[in-house]
Amino acid sequence: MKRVRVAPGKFVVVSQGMADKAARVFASGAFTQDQVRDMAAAEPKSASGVFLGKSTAKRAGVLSGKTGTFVRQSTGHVVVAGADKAPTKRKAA
Amino acid sequence: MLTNKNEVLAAALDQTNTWLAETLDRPDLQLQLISQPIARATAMQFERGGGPRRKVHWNWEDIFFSRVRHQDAWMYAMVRAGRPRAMCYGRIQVKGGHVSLEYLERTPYARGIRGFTAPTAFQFARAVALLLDLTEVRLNEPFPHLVQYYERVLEGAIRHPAVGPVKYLSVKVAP
Repeated sequence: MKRVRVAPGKFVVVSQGMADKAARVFASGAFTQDQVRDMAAAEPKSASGVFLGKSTAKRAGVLSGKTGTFVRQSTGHVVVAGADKAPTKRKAA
Repeated sequence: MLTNKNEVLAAALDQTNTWLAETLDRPDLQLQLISQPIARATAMQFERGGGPRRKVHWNWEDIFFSRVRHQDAWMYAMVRAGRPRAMCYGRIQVKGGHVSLEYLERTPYARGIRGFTAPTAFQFARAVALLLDLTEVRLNEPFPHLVQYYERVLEGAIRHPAVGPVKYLSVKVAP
């Protein structure tokens, strides 16, 4: 068993078999220092920090397609029901 | 959901940190897995560090709570001097036989980590894939201006589809 620190104050116990396998697969194909140096040289300046990501991601939440509710992603709470629907017109009396 | 996700991610993280420290001689760079108690603080610290040059439409806290927590996915921060300098979100798709890198960003001003962000993310993803006996790492929706860079640095990267806008780059991995 190996106790791995995955974050400050947080540890995960890894079985010896898993730890050995990880060491094996890493040793077989890890980039060398020279390769990483070459990669650094090849990195386009236009990357400016962003490497992968979708421009369609919403900042505060998502609209549920099924129910049409706006769900705040950080809490899962429904913020506004029916937010993706146009306001209904009142019928004339 | 995978029953051994935490163990696999911890084993991959341990090896990636060892690789950073010993092979690349960069013990100052360390990966930390993001979990619920630290997700908000880490995301805010990272995004604040980007300053006005950071022009993206996503926020890492939302990604964590909507796509990582309770799912076959990971989020890590690459930390230097106690501050998150890069963040990565990836997914594990056992039925599809691959893991995918979905979001990867480093702070624009981060000195000393230029050139480390993409190789580290790939090494981590490769380790996760191989630990789960999966054979492919995908880079989903790469920015068009970075496709050639990925093809150059990741041996065997294949565009999908072969013609037109790239949906993902696929790299076969083997132990």
